[in-house]
Amino acid sequence: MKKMPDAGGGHGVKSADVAGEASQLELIKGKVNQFFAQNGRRPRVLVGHIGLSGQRRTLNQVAAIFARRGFDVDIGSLCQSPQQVARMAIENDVHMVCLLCDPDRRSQIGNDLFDVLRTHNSNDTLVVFFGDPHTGGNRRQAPGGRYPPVGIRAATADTDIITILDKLS
Amino acid sequence: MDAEFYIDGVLKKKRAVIAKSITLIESALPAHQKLAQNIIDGLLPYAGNAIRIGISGVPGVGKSTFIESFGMMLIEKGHRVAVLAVDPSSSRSGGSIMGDKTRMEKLALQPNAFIRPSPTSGTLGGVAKKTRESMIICEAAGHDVILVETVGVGQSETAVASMVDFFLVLMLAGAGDELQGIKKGILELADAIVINKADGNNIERAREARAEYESALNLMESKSSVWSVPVLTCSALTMDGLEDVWKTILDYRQKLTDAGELAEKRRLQSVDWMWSLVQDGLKDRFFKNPKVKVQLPAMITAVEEGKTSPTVAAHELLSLHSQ
Repeated sequence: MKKMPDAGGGHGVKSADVAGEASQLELIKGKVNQFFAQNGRRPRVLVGHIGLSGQRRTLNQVAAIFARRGFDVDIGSLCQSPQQVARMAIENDVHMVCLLCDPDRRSQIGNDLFDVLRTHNSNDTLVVFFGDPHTGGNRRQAPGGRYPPVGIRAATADTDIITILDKLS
Repeated sequence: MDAEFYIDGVLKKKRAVIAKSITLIESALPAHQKLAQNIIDGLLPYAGNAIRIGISGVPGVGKSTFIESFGMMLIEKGHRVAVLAVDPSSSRSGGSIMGDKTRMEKLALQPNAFIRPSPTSGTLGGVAKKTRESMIICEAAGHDVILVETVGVGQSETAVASMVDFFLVLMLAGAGDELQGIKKGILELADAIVINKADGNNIERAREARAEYESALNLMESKSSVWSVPVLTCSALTMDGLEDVWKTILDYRQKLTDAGELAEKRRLQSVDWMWSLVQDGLKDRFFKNPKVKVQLPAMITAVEEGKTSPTVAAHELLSLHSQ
C-alpha cells in the first residue's frame, strides 16, 4: 500500500523533541516573558491542519511543543480548508498559525490562507509550516513580508521557535 | 485604533474586531486595559439582553459536545450564539492548550456563532472579570444566547455562576455511590441538572441517576421561591432531550422575570462584579507596590527556609503595602 504523505513533512515527533533542551528552554522562556511584557499576553498560536490526511496525534504533539515553551495554543481540527483555519485564527486572535499539510501543497495552501486572512484585514498573522522548511514549491511574498522562510521542525523546535519569537516581536 | 473604532466594529458584528476587543480585555498591559474599559463603557448600553447560560461539569461529561449540539439547535432556531470557555486546561510551563473547538466543529463554522476559548495562564486572578466583559462585547455584537463553559473543578464554577442567568450542571449516570462524591457546592449553584449521555445502553442508568439526583435535591433549600431545580436527561450525541433543556431555560427565565427575581439576580451580580473588581485591584496594587516588590523575594526565601513564619511574613508585607 502506498504511504500517505505525512502532514509532519516526514518528521516524526519524539517526546524528547516536545520536552526540549534545558538551556534553550531558558532562553525561550526569557523571550516569551519579554513578549508578554510588550504585548500583554503570551504568544498565541493556532496549530491547524489543512488537507485530506493527517493524524490528531501529530497535531497534539505540535501543540505540546508550543505549550511547553510558553505559548498559548489553540488546536484546530483535522482536514480543514484555508477558510476554516482563517476563521479560527481570526476569532481566537492568534499571533501565528502553525500549519500541518502535505509539503508539496504548501505554497498553494499558504497563499490561499493569506488571501482569506487578508480579506479580513488580518495582515499581521504569521504563518509557519510544520515540517522541513526547504521542501515545497516556490513561495509568494505575503502581505507584511512575514511569510516564510520560517518553518518549524520537531528536531530543531527550540531554535525554530527562537526564530519565530524574534519575527513576532 | 481608538475605542470608537472597536465600538463601531463590534456593533457592526465584525468578527475580527470582536476578537480584537476581547484580546484587549484579556491583555495585561495598562494601556490595553484602559482602552478596553472605554470600549466596555461604550458598549454597555447595547448589552444585557441576552440569555446568559453557564455550563459546568467534570472533565469527560461531554460539555463541548453538549455545547456543539445545543448551540446548533439554537442556531437553527435563529439565535446568535456566543461561546466563552473560561477554564481550559493549562500546562505546567505556563502555556495553555485550548482544544475545545475541535469538538465544536459544526458550530465553529456557523456565521451566527462566535467561539472564544481564553487562556487562564499568566493572568493574575481576574478570569471572571474578563469573561464578564467579553460577554458584554458578545451581547453588543448581537449575540442573544451566551454560553459560558467552565470545568467543574475549583473556583471557576462559582465565578461563572455569579455572572450568568442560568447555571446548568452536566452530570453522568454512574454507580449509585457516585452521589456521595458530588460536591454539595455545585448542586447549590445549579439551576438545572442535566444528565448527559442518556443514549443506547445508558438510558436506563440515566433514569436511575435522575431519580437519585431528584431526591438529593429535595433535601436542599431552594434558592428561589418560584423555581425548583429540575433534573433532566439528554444525549448531546443524538440530540435527544436538548429541546427540553432549552424549554426549561425559557421557563426559568419567564418565571423569574415575572417574580422580579431575575432583575434582582442581575442587580446582585453587579454588586458582585464590583467587589471582584475591588479585589482584583487590591491584589494588583499590592504586587505593583515598589516596597513590596523589593521585599517580596527575601520574604519568600525566609518563609521557605523557615526563618519567618507565614503569618509574620504576610503581616509585614501587608503593612509595607499600607505604609
